[in-house]
Amino acid sequence: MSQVPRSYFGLWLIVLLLFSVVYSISYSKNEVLLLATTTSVDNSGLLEHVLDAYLKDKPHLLVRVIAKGTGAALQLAKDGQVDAVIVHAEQQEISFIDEGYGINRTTLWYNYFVIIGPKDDPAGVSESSTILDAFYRIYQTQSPFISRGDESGTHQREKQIWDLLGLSPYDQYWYLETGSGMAHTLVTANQLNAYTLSDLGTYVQLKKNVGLQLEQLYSKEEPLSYNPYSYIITNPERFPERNVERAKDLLVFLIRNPELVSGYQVDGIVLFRPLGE
Amino acid sequence: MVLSDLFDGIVLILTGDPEVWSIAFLSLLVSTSAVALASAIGIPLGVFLGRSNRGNGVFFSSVLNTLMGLPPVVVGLTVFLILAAEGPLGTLNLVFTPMAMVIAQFVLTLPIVVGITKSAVNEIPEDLPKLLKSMGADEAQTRLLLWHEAKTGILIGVITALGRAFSEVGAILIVGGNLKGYTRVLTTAIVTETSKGNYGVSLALGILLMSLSFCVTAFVTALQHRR
Repeated sequence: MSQVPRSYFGLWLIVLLLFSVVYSISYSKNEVLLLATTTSVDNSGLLEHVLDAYLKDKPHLLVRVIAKGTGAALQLAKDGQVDAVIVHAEQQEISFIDEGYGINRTTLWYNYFVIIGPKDDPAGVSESSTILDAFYRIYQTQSPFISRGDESGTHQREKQIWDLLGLSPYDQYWYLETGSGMAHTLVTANQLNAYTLSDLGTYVQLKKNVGLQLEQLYSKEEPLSYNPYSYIITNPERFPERNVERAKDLLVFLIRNPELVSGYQVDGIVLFRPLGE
Repeated sequence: MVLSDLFDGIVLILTGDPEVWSIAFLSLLVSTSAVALASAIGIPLGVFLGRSNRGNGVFFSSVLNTLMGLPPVVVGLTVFLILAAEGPLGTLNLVFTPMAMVIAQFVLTLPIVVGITKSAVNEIPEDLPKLLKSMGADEAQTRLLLWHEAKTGILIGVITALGRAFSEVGAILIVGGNLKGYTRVLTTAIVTETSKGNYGVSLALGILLMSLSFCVTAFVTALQHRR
């Protein structure tokens, strides 16, 4: 073996050493709960706030959060990758349950979708009487509109509104899709001085962080702007390896402690309201 | 505004915020593990390919060169599908773990190490071994001298692979999931903080990333310069 330089064995030693560390991190003895959520509950800081309270007396529990749009979160659950989801798209949630992927769908919190747009409001969105009227004005005036375009709950709602109006803006020159999260979409809309549909939480958080020039132009509380967030547990019959007991325990904690949510504010604004308040 | 944010971010790092440091540690661990394994396998493979006359054809070299530029997101997606619960290796439960990130970066960096090692070995004049032997070197001495000839080139391969691994975000985002406190590394943290509009923190993390990358690269460069 004299032809192999000694440093080569040293290299394998390093590999072994590094891999034992990676291995021990990857398979920790701690209990793990995997949660896929919409970006809004994570970006707004709400999730961290409630999980900190939940984890206070549970040193060996790790909650890992994958923040994606509702579509991606539900897909992860369908593939058996997570223990529970927090999402906001009623139709998709119902078919998710009907197809046998999830159980215990519980609506925990709600807020209202808002329309964000340029200060001078060329479409006159702030004068509209309903959210349908607001979207109609944007279409009529061909004002730039930025869509999430990522099958998230917000994107679903936006498409539902266009459908109800019988309008199809998707190939219009003033209609753009980012295909990414709410925060990025808001930043894009801000750069392009365009309108967008947003959840309240991400907008308030971003207004504070980035100093968005855009204003909240429409925020009426009506059924079409109602934005409920639901917690769904992965069906244990389908995915027996998932940590369903812990997912149920967290759900019970969230139901019993609504004040954690109603007391959470960013810049003095309550972002989510617990159901039944 | 960004400047004052940047200042806050730098303060966060310098005051030893535990979250920032654990993220930095994971970056270092994942990327060096991947490149160490890629080197342990790729260097001998590259030496073998460089010395045999096979593997020097235009077609084979083109394939190898293409692999050196594998798109991270494609590697990430492929590794994800293989490791996912319903994939062929789903029973290993590796998806969204640091181990999965190491595997993805290993796949990305292996062709770089192999390719650059191969061309470093190719660079050695074909009749050098004969020359060395004629000057009285025995078999072991010849090999050692040849190794020294190729070393500089081979370590350039390792340095390139490290640079690739440290700066990579697409693959580890897909297979690691960017889980806070578990699989979040510096590059994915920068993506997250940027999407939240925390530009200053992002910039500070970027400076930290480049400093770490510099330290590791300097270490390998020192090896390269050692006689």
